[in-house]
Amino acid sequence: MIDFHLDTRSGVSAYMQIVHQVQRAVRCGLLTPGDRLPAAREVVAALAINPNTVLKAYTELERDGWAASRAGVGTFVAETAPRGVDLEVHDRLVRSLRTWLREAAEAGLDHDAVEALFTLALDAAGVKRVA
Amino acid sequence: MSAISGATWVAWRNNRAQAAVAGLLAAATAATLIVVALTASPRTGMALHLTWIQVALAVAPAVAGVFFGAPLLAADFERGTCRLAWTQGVTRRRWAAAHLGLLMGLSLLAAAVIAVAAQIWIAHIPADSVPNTTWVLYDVQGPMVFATVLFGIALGAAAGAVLRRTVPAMGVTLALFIALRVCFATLARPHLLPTATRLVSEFKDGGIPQSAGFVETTFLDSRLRPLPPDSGFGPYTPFRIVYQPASHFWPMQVMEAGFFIILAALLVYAAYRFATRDG
Amino acid sequence: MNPALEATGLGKRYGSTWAVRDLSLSVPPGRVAALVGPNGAGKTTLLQLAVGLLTPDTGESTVFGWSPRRHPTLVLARIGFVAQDRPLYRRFTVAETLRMGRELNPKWDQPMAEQRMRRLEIPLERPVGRLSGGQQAQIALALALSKRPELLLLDEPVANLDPLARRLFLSELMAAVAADGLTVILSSHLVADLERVADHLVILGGGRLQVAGDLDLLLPEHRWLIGPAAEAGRVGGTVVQAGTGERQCRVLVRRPRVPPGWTAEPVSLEDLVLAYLANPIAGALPMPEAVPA
Repeated sequence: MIDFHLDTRSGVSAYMQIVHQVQRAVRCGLLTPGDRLPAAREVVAALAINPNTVLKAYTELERDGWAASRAGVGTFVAETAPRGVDLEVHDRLVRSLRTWLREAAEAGLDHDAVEALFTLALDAAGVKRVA
Repeated sequence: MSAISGATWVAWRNNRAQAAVAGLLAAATAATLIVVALTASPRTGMALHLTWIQVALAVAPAVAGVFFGAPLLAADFERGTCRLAWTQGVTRRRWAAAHLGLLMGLSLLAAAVIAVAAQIWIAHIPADSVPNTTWVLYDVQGPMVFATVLFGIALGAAAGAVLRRTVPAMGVTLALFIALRVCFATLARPHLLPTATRLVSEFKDGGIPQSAGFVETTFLDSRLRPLPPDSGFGPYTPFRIVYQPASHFWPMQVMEAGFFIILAALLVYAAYRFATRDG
Repeated sequence: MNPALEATGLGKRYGSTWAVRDLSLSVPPGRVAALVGPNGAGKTTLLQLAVGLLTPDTGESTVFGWSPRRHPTLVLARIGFVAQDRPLYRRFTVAETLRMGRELNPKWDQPMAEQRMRRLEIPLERPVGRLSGGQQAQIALALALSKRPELLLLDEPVANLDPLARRLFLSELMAAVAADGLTVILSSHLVADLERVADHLVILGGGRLQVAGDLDLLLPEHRWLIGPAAEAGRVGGTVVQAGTGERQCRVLVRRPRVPPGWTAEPVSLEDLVLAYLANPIAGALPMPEAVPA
């Protein structure tokens, strides 16, 4: 089960934040296909947000193949969702990323410079985009 | 209390404390009157009891109106709880009817109890202890007590419904109660029934009749014209009296009591109409 | 499908002052509508007119098609109302307050009410006057919700509550909306709260309607236009707020036509509300807003 949180200062709309949080959870393997997403009622009670926000988020996730709803039962992570990364793989990647970042900081790069460098490399690498 | 329900239950529960106090006061008043009546004897100082009991019975209707009639509706408006009551499932009319019905129902009971006790007390006053007790106690006889208690409470309820603030309603109730009672007594009462006139020019004419009420005496000179106010008079000075004969007593009671009861009914209706206006 | 609340030419006068004037709006069912405006703008008057606490001087309003003047019991059965300051009978215990709800409402859900009190850990036997502000607010809300309304109207329900109590209140409110498809109209000054819960907006200014509509439509309809101050006159559309600096100006426009060379930026709910509040003449709509069914 996933716990949503809302960052009101981020400038990102509430429903997009929910979409992103589901996507992130799936990518990290915290949610796998078949896992049930929290019912709209529960999300609404936890976050004190408009139920339509949750419905809009779930509808978009469904439309893009991340989730599938079963009438009367709930909304579940779809089989068609991108495979999450194995947790061990995930941890390994995070550790090597941290090493790289430490090196960049020691080389004198600030936050924006690191971001620019990374984006450049990412675009050049041609990593496949999903939805 | 599952015997009552709906808006009446709410009216009762909201005014439970006041109703209890009022009930206690009414019961205490009635009990005191009856105890005094039963323990009275020519040797116990009846005159003393007479005065403060008369005062108490005259004041009781005003107290009832000010402390129990006026706050009933006014408090609900003042605290804003009418906006809670009026957005549930009952109409304003039902709410007002429940409150006024409860108020007047309990008031009828209390007024009847006190009135009966007052009449019992009067019946036990030794006939020789106070001259002409009937007329002296005109204002505290059973029918008058009953009518004025109802009138005071109805006046309070109407003031509360119109002004919708407790303290002003209490003040207005007191002022109007006194004003209307005094006005009626001075302006209307003498004219309820035609007075009788008697001329006493010589001893043989019999003096002041037995049980004459509201006697007005005018002293006369030898030619039967009114004497100037400061003139002295003696046992042989002629005088003319205007009075209510004994036979007028109960009819006058009934008429005056009837007037105040009808007025009370009109005031309750006014309270109902004003209570249901926009809040 | 009847609108949850519809007003046509609604007006209410006190002496010579119009608290609400010429007001027409239509709130579709299922919305959570935020009612915003400065103090004295007519929010309380509008809410009280809608539930029948006040009689209008002009025009009329209906709740799901029913007029509170002609069919008071039908309207009362469909609405829940929490008045400003959340009035309650302070000497009643919580249990007696719920009983009051049961006695005065034909459609009363006692199990729901009790369950709500248990979940919020509000003791049933305590007099309401001895509870905290947050707990009293929850009771007022429970009273309104347990009569199973279709339209819930709240007049500044979270004013004077601490942040946690406010959050709990809104949480309960939204959960009820999720469960029952309730329509909600709530007036509030707290834009942060409204950003979380509202999907429909009604802005009042000086007793008149300035703006009303679904946020999904209103927000994209408005843009900040930024351009040279010298060209300020070239902006097309309805100007809500204009701010001119020495060289640059920034204008909030509804249905803008962007002059060449100018930039357009999206508008947040807070921007929108502040702009209309600061400019009471802007908008002042006399006709109901068109919203999709």
